[in-house]
Amino acid sequence: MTWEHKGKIAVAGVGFSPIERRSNQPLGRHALTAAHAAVDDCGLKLSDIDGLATYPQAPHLAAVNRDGEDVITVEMFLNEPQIGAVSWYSEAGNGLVVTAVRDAVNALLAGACTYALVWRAMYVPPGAYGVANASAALGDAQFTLPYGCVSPIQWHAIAYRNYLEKHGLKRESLAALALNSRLNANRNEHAIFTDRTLTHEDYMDARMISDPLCLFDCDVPVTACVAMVLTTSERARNLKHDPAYVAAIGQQTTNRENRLHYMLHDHIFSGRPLVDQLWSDSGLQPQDIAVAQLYDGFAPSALYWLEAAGFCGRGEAMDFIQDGRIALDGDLPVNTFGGSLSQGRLHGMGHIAEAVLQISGRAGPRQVKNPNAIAVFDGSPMLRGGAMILTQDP
Amino acid sequence: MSGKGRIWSWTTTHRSVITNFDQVLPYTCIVVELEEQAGLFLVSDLVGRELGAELKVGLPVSVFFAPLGEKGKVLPQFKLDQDRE
Repeated sequence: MTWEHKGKIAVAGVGFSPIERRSNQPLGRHALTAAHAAVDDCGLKLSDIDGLATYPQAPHLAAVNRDGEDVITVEMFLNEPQIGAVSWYSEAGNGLVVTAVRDAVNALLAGACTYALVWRAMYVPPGAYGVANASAALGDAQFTLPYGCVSPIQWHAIAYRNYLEKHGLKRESLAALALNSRLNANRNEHAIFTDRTLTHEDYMDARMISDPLCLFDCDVPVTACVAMVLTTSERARNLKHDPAYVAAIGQQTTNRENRLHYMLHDHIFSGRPLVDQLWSDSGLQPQDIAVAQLYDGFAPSALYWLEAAGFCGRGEAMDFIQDGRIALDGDLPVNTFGGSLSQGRLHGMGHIAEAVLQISGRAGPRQVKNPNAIAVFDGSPMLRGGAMILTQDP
Repeated sequence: MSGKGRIWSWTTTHRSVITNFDQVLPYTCIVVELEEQAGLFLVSDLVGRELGAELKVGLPVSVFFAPLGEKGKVLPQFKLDQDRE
């Protein structure tokens, strides 16, 4: 049955800070820049904001999690003098950016605030990114750390290797995703790789990070913030741009039999509750979706989502992404903005912002024709995921 | 426990993720499914294998216990089992 709140809440505007590798500006400055851009995009002021939500955590072992430095929590905006009286706020603790957006949707439906600012800020520290040092292996780590198997990239690589072997696939085929993403980023001013091209040869020559994942299968860490403003659809219709209506939004967790590493036992089964809810709430089916923005922090997650969401069958995603099918003029354009692979590691917030820009016809040289419904899948169906569908009509 | 299992999957890591292992880069980590029970997994590094040797899902491995630091501690590790197919 269709969601009773379908189309009642909308994303009214989005805003970006500069997207940089390492910045000589503090992260707090990036956050304020993005927040100002988001309210400007609506024709509002920061003083109109009375709701705040983010997923703040820094995603790597070496993070210090200091507000304004490598994370931007709700606290920073609560203390920002330009922000109005805040009647509602939320920090998604161990979720995803979709979790924060969903919190804002629920708060707006409940009337807890009128204009909610949702953001995700990311930071690249000096030196090597996310490299840890350990003198003792405690807790779960005693089963992985003595073997040097401690990083999400290794766990993703292990799951992906099993996927490739199970389906008789070659890692080289994943070049299609990286190349498509780079072409789209080359048409996006909000991307770390706006001006840098990527060739098939570059991909094939790339160094391995943790095989079968090469450099270009990993998203590029950036220092940046993306923000957006959500409000009721009634209010959104009186603002500057066409609203992107929330037709469905949900979350999914996987009951992991083994939490030491990622297993990818059955990502289709794990994703099923979320996917079923999305199609039921929105009244749409995969064939109704004009564009898919698929989380690609490590590129194979995009493959798993294509299968879990029902855009293709089990083990078919690698074939699906070939031959231009996911290009801007293909059957299902994917990551039209460059994805995290080529826009930068914004943890899914870039995916949602792009869906909004496409829906409201503001994607410039990468605009897809008639994108009446866009699906965003965040996280990974083998771990935990979040997803939403945005539409042009409520 | 027999100490026997089969490779479920693996990765060879080329970039530093933990500085303690920088001296042994690149190295291969495996997930072993133990013979005693389907779905019972252990993580290990794969010892005694030349990098570049062909690995496959399902290759047999067996445990050995390597001394670790002082006080008689040992670390269970796995190596390819040449005696089984």
